[in-house]
Amino acid sequence: MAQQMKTVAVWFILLLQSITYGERTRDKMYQPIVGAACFRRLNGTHQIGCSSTYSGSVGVLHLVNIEADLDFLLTSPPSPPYAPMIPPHLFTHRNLLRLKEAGPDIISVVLLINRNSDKMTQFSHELNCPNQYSGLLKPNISESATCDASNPPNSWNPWGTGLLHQDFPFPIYYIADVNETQTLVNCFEKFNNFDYESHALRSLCAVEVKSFMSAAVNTEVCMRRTNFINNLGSTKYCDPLEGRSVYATLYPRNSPENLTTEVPRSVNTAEKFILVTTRLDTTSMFDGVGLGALDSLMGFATLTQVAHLLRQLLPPQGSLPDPRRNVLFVAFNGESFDYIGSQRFVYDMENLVFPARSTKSTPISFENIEFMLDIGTLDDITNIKLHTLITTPLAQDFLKKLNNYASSPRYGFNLDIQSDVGIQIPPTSAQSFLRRDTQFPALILNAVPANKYYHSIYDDAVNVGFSYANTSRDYISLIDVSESKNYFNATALQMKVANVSSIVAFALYETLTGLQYTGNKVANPLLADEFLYCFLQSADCRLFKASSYPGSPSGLPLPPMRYISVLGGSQESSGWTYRLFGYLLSQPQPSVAKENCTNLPLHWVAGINGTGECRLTTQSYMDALSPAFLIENYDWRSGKYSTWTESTWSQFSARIFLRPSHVHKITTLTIGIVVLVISFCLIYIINSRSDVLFDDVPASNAAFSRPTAC
Amino acid sequence: MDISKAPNPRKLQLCRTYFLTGFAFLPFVWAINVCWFFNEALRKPPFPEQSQIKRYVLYSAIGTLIWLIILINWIIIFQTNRADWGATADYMSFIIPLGSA
Amino acid sequence: MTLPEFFGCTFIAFGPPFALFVFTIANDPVRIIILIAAAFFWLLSLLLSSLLWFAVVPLRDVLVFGVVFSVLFQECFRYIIYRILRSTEQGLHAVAEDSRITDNKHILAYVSGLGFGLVSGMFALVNLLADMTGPGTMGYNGGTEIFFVVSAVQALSIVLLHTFWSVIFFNACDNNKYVQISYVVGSHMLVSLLTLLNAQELYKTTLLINYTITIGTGVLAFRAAGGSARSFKRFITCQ
Repeated sequence: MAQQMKTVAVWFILLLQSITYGERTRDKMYQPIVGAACFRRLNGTHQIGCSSTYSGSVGVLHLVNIEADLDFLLTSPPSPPYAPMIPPHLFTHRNLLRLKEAGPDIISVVLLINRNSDKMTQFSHELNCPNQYSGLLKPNISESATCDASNPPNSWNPWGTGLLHQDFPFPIYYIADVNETQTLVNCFEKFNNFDYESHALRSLCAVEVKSFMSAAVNTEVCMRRTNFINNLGSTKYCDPLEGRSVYATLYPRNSPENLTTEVPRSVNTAEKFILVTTRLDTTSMFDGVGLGALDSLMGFATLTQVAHLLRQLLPPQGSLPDPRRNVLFVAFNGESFDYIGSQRFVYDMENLVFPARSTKSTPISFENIEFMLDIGTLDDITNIKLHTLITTPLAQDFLKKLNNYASSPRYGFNLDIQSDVGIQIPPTSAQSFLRRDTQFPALILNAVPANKYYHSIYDDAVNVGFSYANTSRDYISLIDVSESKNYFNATALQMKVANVSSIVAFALYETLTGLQYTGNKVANPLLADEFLYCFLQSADCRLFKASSYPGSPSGLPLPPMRYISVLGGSQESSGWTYRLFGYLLSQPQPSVAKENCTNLPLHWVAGINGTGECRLTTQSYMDALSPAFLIENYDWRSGKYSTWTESTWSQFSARIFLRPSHVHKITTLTIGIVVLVISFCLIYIINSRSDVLFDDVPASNAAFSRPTAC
Repeated sequence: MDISKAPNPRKLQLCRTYFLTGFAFLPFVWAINVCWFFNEALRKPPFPEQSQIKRYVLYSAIGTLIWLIILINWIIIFQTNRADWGATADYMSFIIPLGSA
Repeated sequence: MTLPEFFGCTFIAFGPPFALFVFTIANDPVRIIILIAAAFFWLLSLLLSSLLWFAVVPLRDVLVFGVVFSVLFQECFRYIIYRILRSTEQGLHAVAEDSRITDNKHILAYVSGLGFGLVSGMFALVNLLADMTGPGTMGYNGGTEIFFVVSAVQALSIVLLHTFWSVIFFNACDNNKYVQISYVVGSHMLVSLLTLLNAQELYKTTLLINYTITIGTGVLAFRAAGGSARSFKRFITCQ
């Protein structure tokens, strides 16, 4: 018998063992969802973007396949609030405004999912007129004169919805991963997508998104609150958008400055610069997503390649007809947010603080600028225009030079660059210069807008049709015009970038030397290939490695983030740009050994072979923080400078779970209250009559019990 | 301390001290005075100091009430107008709410 | 927010013990002290269990091992608190304003049992209650919606069982009734092991067995504390 009992006990324990394992209840209730959140930015007058409630916004999942699904949610929601999962083609201005109007009681969360993205024909959240309020202004009107917002087809971003500049009362969460989307859809199908009448009565699959934003109202309010210090210390509500612009000169400057700080800085008027600029940054509605392939990377790639080409083609500065001439290349950061980088550049030049004293060279002022060539968006290179405010001999002359090379049968570029004179100039950095002085000699190269994904998460390698050739050939040396056609066909992106770069570089060559370029060497499309791969697919790439210190850790296998971000942000793109300029725009110093190549401007880079080489560099950083944050008592509403700030937040997260129905909640609570009340009554009665119940107790106890009526 | 064990003059002295302290913008002291001496002033059998204690308790009660009305009004006015007052309200606040005007 | 769920479950699990506390413990300081002391002894047993669990690394994932030893430790500490209370009876008699506590030995047993039960119920439920305040409920990844209510009801049964067990246990120790002592240890073990079945969602079965044992133990405790069918009848009929 005992033996049997023992066997049973052992068997029982084994049974229990096989089915039990420790697990936190929470893990069974919630499933985290990975994605990117929309966040809040503020300017002098408004707040834009999204925020969840403090503890997280919760909504019942609802898959939207067609517009009728949205109508259903908005007109007769059975158990609000809901969280519609919207595919990109339905993520339109009209639909989002309808959701916003419905209010957070009906729509508490919006999820953008990657489903049916082939149905999407356009997706741009930027305004029809990017940087509408900070460009060249009409007299007495705070709106840009260079773009007509009332006429979208004729604007600079005809497909823009302006959603980036809307304030939403709910969080928007973008789920890029298809598997995560499938998890959401499965949960919706399993718990929600049937018997809608009983939605209010049963538990439903819901999502909670946490993306609470600390700042509110506008930059003035949040900066005031951030600067306000009380006994408990200060709280940070928002940070100004801040990054670094990168600049470099073609030839090392030879204009040293006395370092004594007592003497005011003075300009060396003998120096002459041709300013070649472009935009470094891009943006999108969601945190950490958005490559800006077509909206800004093309121009940036072109600038880099022009710089590289000129560096290799031009003779030493001393042998130029005018040996005081130089070229200043600048990649402005924060241009997507009211030209932060170029406004700061103009402000610094006006105040004679560019470049910083630490560079030990004289400041550069507007007197030193011969003219500016600004490279804007290059959506369609067969349709590039040279924009100027007024007809000038300079512009006509430069256009002639450009077209001379663009149409030359010798190189076979087969391009034709048109002139476009008038107030309608594209939203590029040049506007900051023209705003200061409309007579400023600015030439802007910009193609007719054709980017349907301007400033959006879908402006990626696919949008520009980029495919990495991965040839492992020499991409640094110039290439013969006949050879350049061997690696790519004529319509490949790499060829387009190389061709435009060649044309611009040759025209600048002619301007500087006074001689027509007659060589056979053109820009190397393989360099464009490597460059685009680094910025569109992976920072762990050959070009970045070659321009870093030998053996330094390689970049992440992700494209570098090109949103300007805030102080303390990653600043990846400006860091890589700095190194690229240091490599592509520098002079090799073969005679200098590694030990002596430690102090700037000498810089030791890995080089194409990774063996290391010494370079005489010219590049440097420049703060891209709007002057609005430097000026004491700046009037935030004046619209003079960019006032963009980014709200602080503690976390972004999303998770799905079952939201209990009201019936379930109320039932549980009712049971609890009933149990509580009954037990109080029962125990009072038992306690008061314990002498009756336990009659065997010693007699002395009886004295204490209170008599009670039953 | 147990007020019931104190002699009557001591009670009066305490009650007066509390009443006077309350004038230093300390309405809670008045409120405590009222609670503490309520029984002494109104419920206990008469004793010589009782009339004075009663007076102090009454004045303290009135003071508390006035303070209460003032505070309630101020809180309502401040909370409903905080967003509109902008910078002024921010400088008045010790803790500014996150994520709202 | 499922605060209603949180409060509902809290009331279910701790409503009856709270009522017991209010009517039978709260007005006597000595009883409160003993209740807290008993709770502390239960915590000590938990500390020992967790030390053992921590020390025996290979069996950390084996819940059964932990459960068995935890039950044994609890019973050991029940015996220890019994010894301590009995040895301090004289002192208690001197300080207690209410002499019932030493005259009626069951009161001490009941109070210490309730202390044991309260803290054990709390430990059983606090983690769950914390999870309950979130926006979700059980059921997304398996599990049913009634999980929380079931857990609360189970916690209530544990509290009541501990109270009954202590009454039986103290009485049995006083009278050297080894069968009753082994019943206490055995039923405690059985109930604890039964909760492991919850992983298979056999809630109905476990709850049914649990409450059968609770009622059975309650009757035993009632008898041990001096109740009888006759007295119960008198109680019911209001005599």
